[in-house]
Amino acid sequence: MRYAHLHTTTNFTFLTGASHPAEYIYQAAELGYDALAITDECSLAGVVKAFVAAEEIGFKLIVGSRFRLSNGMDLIAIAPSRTAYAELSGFITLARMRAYKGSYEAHFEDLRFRLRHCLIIWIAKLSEAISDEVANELSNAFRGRLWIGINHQLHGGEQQDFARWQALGIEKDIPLMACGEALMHSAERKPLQDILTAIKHSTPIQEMGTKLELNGEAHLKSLYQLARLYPPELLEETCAIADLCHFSMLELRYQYPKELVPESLTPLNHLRNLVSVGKQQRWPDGVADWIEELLEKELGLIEELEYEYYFLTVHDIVRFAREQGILCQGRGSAANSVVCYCLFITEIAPGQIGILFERFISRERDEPPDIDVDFEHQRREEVIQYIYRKYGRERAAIAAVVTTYRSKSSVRDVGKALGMDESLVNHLTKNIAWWDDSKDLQKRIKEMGIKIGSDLLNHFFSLVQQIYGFPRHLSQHTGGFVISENKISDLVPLENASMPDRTIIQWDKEDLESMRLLKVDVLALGMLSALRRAIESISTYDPTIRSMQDIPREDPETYKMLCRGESVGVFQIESRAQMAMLPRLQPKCFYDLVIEIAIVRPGPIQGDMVHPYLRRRAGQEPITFPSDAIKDVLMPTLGVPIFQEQVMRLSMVAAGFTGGEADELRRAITNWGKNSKLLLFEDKFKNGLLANGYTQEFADNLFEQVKGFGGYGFPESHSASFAILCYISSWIKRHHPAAFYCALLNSQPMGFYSPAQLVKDARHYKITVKPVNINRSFYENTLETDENGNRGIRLGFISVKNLNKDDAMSIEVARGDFPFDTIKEVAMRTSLSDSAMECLASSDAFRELAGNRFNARWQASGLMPHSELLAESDVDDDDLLMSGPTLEENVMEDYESIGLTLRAHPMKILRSEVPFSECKRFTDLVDLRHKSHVKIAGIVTGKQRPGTASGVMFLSLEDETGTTNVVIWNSTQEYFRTEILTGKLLVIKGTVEILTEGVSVPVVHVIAGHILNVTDRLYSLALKSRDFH
Amino acid sequence: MSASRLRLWLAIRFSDLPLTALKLDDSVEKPIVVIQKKRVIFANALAEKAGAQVGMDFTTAQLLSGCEVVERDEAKEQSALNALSEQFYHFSPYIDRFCSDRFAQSGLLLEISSCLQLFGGLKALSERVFTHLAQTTYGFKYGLAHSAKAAWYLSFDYHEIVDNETKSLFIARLNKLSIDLLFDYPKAVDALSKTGFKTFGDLAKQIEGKSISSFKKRLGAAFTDVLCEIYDIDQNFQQSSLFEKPRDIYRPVEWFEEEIQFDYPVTNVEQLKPAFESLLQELSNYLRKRQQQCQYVEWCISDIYRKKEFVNVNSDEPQSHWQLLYDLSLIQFDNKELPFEVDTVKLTCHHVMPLQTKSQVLDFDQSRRRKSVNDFAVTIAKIKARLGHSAVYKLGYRDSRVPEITNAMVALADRCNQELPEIHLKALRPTWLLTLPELIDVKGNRLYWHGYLTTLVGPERVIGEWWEKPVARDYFLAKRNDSLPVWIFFDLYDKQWYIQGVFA
Repeated sequence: MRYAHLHTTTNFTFLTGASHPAEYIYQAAELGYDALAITDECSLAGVVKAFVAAEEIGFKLIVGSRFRLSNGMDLIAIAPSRTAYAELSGFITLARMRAYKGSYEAHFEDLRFRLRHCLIIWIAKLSEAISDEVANELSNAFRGRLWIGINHQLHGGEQQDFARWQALGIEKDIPLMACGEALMHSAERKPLQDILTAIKHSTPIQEMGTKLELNGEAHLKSLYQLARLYPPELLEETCAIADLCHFSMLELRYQYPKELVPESLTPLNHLRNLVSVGKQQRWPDGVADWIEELLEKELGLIEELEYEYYFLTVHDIVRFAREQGILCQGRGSAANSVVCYCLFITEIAPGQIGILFERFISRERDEPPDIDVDFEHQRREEVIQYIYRKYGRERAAIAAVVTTYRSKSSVRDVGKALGMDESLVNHLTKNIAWWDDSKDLQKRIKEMGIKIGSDLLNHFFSLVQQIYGFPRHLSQHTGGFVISENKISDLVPLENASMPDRTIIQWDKEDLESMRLLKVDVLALGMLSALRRAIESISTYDPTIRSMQDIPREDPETYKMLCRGESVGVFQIESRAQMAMLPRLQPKCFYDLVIEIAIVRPGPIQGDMVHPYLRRRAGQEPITFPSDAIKDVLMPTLGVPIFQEQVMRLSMVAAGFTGGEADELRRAITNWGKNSKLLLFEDKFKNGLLANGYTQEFADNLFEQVKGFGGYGFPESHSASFAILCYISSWIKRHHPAAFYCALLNSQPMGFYSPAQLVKDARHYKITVKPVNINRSFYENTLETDENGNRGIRLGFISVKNLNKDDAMSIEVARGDFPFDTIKEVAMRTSLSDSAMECLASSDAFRELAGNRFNARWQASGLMPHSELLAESDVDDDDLLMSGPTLEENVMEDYESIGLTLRAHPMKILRSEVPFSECKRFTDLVDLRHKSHVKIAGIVTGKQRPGTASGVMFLSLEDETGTTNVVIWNSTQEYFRTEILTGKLLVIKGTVEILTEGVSVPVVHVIAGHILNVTDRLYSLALKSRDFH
Repeated sequence: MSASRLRLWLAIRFSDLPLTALKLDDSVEKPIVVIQKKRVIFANALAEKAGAQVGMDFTTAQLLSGCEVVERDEAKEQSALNALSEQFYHFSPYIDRFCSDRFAQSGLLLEISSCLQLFGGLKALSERVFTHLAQTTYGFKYGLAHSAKAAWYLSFDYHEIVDNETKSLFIARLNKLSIDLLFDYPKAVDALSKTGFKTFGDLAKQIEGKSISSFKKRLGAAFTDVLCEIYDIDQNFQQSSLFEKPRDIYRPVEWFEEEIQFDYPVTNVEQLKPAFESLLQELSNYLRKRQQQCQYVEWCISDIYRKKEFVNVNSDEPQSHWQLLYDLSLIQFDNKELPFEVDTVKLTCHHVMPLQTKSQVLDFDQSRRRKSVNDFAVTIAKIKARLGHSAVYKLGYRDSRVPEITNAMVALADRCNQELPEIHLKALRPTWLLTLPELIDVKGNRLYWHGYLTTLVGPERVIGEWWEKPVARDYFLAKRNDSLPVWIFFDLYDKQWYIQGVFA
């Protein structure tokens, strides 16, 4: 018996289908089906995932989609050919673009005129009134390619209804076929399907009644079961349809936009010309032979694989950005090629790092090159609009991101759907920390002592596990653009994103990769905005610095600063872990920064590469290589593999992999944990090493290190691009700290640190930071030079919470060259709203006019609506008789209104009180004995839990003298979980560890033992608790 | 400052009213929180000690303190305040009530200046009030001041009452209070605290130093009025006290209660009828005069030895006319033998409501319609009288895939769903469902239920309720050998056949 299943709803019909696309494919193959069609509702979002699974096991996948038309009719459209696929994709686009995000609107007329090649299945609905007119219309419109689909689900009345449809089929000459809908690959998913339906209706399952599926029959059935449900001719007909379908997803060939090439030139010639011009600019004194050679090799490969248009497209976008003065930088394997250097896509010169040609473009796999371009985050929208203008919305769209169920969302939605108490669900959700995985859930519930019926709880656990990873909805990718020569909708359907005027395609990044489609990543990077601002500021007083290229390379003072671990605000190396590594690694040159960026990552840490590297660097361990071939690969990193490229090279030089195989290994490493095939390489890798004369022990160790890279390995090409920005930001911090911090503050939100922490750090470098002032501040923070010529920072109105940009700008305009004398004058000259005046008063911007913020608020709130007649009168004598705020009140209000304070640190105020008086300050720690007991207190300014195996958490605890790095081991985290989750002000008892050997400044951290949450003391600074008795 | 110089107010704040009004037996022995909209609005001492706090999410409170959670009952609080007002009426006829909009704080305000002499001075009066309160279950705090508002706020700050209480003393006490106590005016409190005001005294200082208009233009007239009342300030020098309308005197709750004593012992209901009619007519007059209606009356018959029996009469619609209540009363008594020789019959009507004046539609059939409504009420009343209240129900539909739980018995007065879902149109469903499915015998491989059954159509598979009591059944339409169509199912779990219903 043959059978093809043609009615499948996957979980990409969100909150309806209860199985992943791949699960259907595997199940269908196991059940012995001939083929399976994925027919999600007005969507092709799950098709690529099914395609990948089908390719893997050699199973026939049919592409289709189901529609509920506006007249209530349910139809399935199947694409038998490439033309039909384009029609289907276009039809879905049309129906989706008409409606709001997540919905669609399809009419019979559209279907009739747009689907001229698709096969149509008219789903026979129970008791549906069949009008003769509709039947005739359908049969005329789709003659020879229309079927009536019998959906037998063991519902009441089906048998009688079948006779009705059978009669219709005979009368209108429409064949009937078996078309049982599958909402899940196996009947075991029925509870999950019910839960998804309940979530969709926002109704507890107990109240869903007949809104739930009648039974669990909507799954893939065995051929035996099917034979009992349908007459043989109906089952045969499914294969007749499948046999008509010859379309394969492999046929989807990508066409690059061609308008970038002048008519008289071939794409390669045009690219060569551009590269040639760039080459002259990069090397005015002539190009070295080896570079020319490499360039030719790259251009040859580009020509062979026809990627000229891709490079031209990226070049065009980067050219636009440069013309507009928008800072940008490319990264990725292809970005760090000589071609990209000549096209000014990247700043990494050939030879600066060892680019692996096989990562440039993989010939064997014929996969698209990888170039990500970062733009200033505050100006990226200009670039996006340029792309839309140039290619039109039909040819340029953003890739989707599939938002999936994570721990919290699973718990929240399943809990609600199971009718669990709402506040309990909220409580549970709140208490699941971002570091928990779903297995911890059971433990958390037990800890909380919650009593729920054990059956319900078992269902809850099981369903939370099942729903985890299910797609929830499509949203917009951060910047992955797909641009094509023809309509994108011929390739993949488009739909509306939630952002107005944005369209996304229905496939995500992984789908695009699987389909080998070109994607240009137009990403936003806050640091680029900060660097542009900083350079602009510097150029106002130092004309020698006008662009990033003007910054002197390899400046020793910059490296000295980094060796001291002073890297707050510096790109990529500002985390606590990076700051702790800097004094140990002692970077002295650019390549050291490339290593520094890559080494403090879970891959090298898990692969135990950090300590050997540091020991070798410090000369405490000999640098040895088992062979010369390996020496060539690992020499730059002293014999320790740190980069992904090195793993690839090792596999090639030591284990005999081809370039393509090495790249496959890299992909397996990158996808580690997500159905990765990394372990499939184990034998080949080890055998290759043994065959080349290496020992078994070496082979085992090396493969363990390779596994350590799994999912976290960092490519040298990315690290190098980051290292450039890292160096430039470090240089600016070292030589122009005021401009550096000012630019960082203006580019918020970005980086690891809050404005308060940045200001604190700036003041540590003796930079004067001045408060917001109605007569001196501008919208942005600005540099202000004092009488001694020292540059400080004047906080701008940008720091004032809830004050919008237009209001802030209007102050600048209204003030002009004439400062304000009174608050009343501010109100009259600016016409600011009451709330804007209140914000300014709260931020203490009126201090110069009113003395203190109490007075300022009093005066601002007493202003009557402006009247010309009363402009000069000053009849109100109602001065405030209260005294001004205390220091404590001012500090708390500073934090509330501008997020930072320039007055005393809250810890300084609390220091005289118990228990803070008994605590050591940050600066005291270094004088303590290593491993001695210590009690510290401070405000939590950061929590990090890197994905390393040990599960250590790093907590930054700030007091008035500095920030202590606190290490919290797993067991302590478990015990003091609530304190860590909710505490803003903590008292920690623990052991101080001081590392002095091999570092220029001692590295101090505290291992936490006992944690006390004293956050209430922070609030009591200014507020008394409200107590009624 | 000065308007009502002679006034003296005693505020009694019932700080634990949300809990005490519920009259729980063991409310002091275990941690309990009272919640409203899932937030804690009151926590008893034990719950507070264990970490529960007002404003907290109740699950958090429960997890922290293991406390019992009870829902707030505002109606009970109001009725407790009513009862307390009744009791305080003995001390003063001037009684106001204060209930906070934002926190569960409420209490009574007594104007006592005119009663001082009667009760032997302030101290004696207050002692009597407090002694009385000590006999109740309500915890309380008190405040004494020259104005109602001032007294209310002073109830948050304990001061022993002495005989020579003066306004200046009250002002001095008020000045020490935190402005947080003005919690019913959160915006004003926020604005004031942001301009440096911390105590009532700060407010007074600003008013004295500058003027009340400073506050009026910033915080609005409503809040300024409160300040004026607290400090007894005459705004705008209008001498409003001269034109002040006299204070309303507290009126205790009224109810109707009349009785008729017979000259001879009554032994049957027939003899009671004239008394019923007469008393109900009196009630009717009483209601009409007050523009009121009632829905519920109580009859009490008693003999000379004070044996009593009560009979309640309910009407679905509020009544102001006696006739229907009379008919309903007779139905109640028709069913009864008099338990003793009746000496007195008393009619009581505690709960009245304002007359609902309905717009009169021009409808010539009005009287007939009213008659039919009354007939229905009488019929229902008859059924209730015969079978008891608990025997009268409506049938409702409960949406479920499991047939036997789709029938819902709903109390007559409650709303019910009587719309059937689409499945009843599409699939075969019998008109008569058994309350619970009955097991079908299997006799010699044939199904038997009062006759042999033959399956005709099926199966229709029903799977669901997995979260509670999983159901998995295959339903069939079957025919009994006497041609009766029935609806049967095969239980996929216990592998047995059942009958679910019978087709008409």
